[in-house]
Amino acid sequence: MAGEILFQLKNVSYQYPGGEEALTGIDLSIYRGEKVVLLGANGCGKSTLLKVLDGLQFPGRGSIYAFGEILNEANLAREEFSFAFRRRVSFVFQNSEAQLFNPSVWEEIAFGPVQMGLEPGEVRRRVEGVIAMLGLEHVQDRPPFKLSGGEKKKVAIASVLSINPEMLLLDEPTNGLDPRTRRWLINLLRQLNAAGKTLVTATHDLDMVDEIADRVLVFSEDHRLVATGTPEEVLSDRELLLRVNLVDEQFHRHVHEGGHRHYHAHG
Amino acid sequence: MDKVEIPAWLLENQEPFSPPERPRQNGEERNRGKNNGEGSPVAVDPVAGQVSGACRHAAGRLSTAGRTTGPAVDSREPAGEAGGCNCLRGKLSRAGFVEKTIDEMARVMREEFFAGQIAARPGLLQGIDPRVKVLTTLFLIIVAGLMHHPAALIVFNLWIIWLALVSRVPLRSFLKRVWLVVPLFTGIIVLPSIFNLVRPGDPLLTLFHFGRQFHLGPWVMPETFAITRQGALGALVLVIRVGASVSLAVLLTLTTRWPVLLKTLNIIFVPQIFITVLEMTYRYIYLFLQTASDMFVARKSRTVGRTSSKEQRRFVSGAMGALWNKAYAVSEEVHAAMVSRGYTGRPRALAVFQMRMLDWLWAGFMIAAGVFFLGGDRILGW
Repeated sequence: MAGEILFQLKNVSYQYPGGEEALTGIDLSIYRGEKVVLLGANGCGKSTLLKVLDGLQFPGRGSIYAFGEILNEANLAREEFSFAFRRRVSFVFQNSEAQLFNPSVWEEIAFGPVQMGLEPGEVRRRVEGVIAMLGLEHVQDRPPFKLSGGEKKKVAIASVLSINPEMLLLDEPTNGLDPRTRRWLINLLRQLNAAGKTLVTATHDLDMVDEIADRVLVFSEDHRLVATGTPEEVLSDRELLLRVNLVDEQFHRHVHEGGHRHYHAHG
Repeated sequence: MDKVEIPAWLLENQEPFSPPERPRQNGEERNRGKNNGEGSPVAVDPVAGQVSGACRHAAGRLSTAGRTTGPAVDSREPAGEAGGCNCLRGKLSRAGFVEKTIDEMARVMREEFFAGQIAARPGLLQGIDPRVKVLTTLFLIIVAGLMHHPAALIVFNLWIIWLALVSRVPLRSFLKRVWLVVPLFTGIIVLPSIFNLVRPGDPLLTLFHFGRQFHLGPWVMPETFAITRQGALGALVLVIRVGASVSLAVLLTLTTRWPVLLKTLNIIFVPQIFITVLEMTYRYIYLFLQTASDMFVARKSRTVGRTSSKEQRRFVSGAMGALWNKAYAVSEEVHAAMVSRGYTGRPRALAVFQMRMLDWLWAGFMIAAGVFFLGGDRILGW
């Protein structure tokens, strides 16, 4: 990982307004073009870290550098900085409902580019490009709330791809998707990464980790970054997974023909 | 697995991270929704009894588990059937009052307001520049305020209904929206003024004959207690006038897509903070109502048999508290999602405002119409 550093976090801690700890002393770097998975049990702080990376929440202690500049509230209040940053980093929320707030799919996908102040012709080109790419033609005039869960997720992804970000932050992207849509999404993410997009995915879906990660960051339940490694290293470290409460004693994995692995627990 | 075609622009590299100048927004497409909304596969007839008092507790309503899918699936009966319904009225239907109200609100919000289905129809007003619409609406509301003669006002109202018709606004729903509400609220306000007790005048209908004047506390009661001609006419004029104003405002909001309307308000110097509040409300009111409606469904799925009205009340008050917390969390989330995609608080819509010939003609027509109605009103005299 000798590439350019996009994000650098130094000793970042975040507390909820109530004083509850969500992140404790996080040090990490994210490099251009890599795919990183944030792995941890529910409530370990993965989502908070994504929000911190997207400049939606600001850490109480520590500092973040994004694209070589300090990422803080003051900088994001400057319109030029904020636009430059938001153009590069996009966030796919876990809850598609909250992310889809426009009257039609077309407008939903156009929202980002329109906010960025792109030319109308360019906005149209991008929206139509993304619609064609993700096969959303048949729903483009429908209100997003009428779509199925899988379609909602597609629209949510389309709505950030139209911004053409360099980096995608995804919060539990495969949650609630059927197997086919899930497979489709994993392939899409791999393709986007192969095309140069940096991916940071928060998940606890062990099955897809080795497909969408070059590097896995493991979080403990006390909100610390406890291990970093390749998917193979992390997933074969049963002790580690047990310690961070991601798996139970019954956990084991199968290696099928052709090297496909999957991980699960028998009751 | 089927591979997707990634468009070339998506692979373009961004310029280096030194914040570039933001491009200015100029010429944009106009009324995009209009072109795209046509033939939408989800067209739902918004006329369906949205304010009607029709009985909605037909089949499936009696079993507590019978209705866990979407809200208000069975709310399409015409109002006329209300009296003829022979299902179990009373306890069950009354118990669901809050729930039904919320379901209906969610549906109306979703179908008509949020999805902007009427605004997406091809109609006359839908094609007019939103700035022209906002300004002419304001002008016509002032005209309505200046008119005095009931006959002129009635003709004015009929003309507004014609405007609604040529804009393909469903007439029944439009009339209900205006004329069920206006007489109720305005009527209550002007009711006292029709009696000679408040406003002396020529008696039109004598209610009581007291025989002589007498004092009741600080008031002097007249010899006869009657409805006066002046009072009744004044009340009538006020109700029709308010009706006309409300009709115009309803027509504007129905035929203009909300984001475009907000952008127009921004252009005509409505304060930014006001628009931001409206915009956020709009963005998440649907989620809010959906959450409320889900809470009732969730409760229903866990309830066996009937609950007493005391329990119902307790649930509603508890639900209000929970909803408040949820709404707060959701509003944060929606706001974060907007900010993440570049929202800065300024309304931006993909709509270019550009005056065309039709817009100028329309503006002229509206001004002429306003002057015509005012003139007619003067000629009829008062």
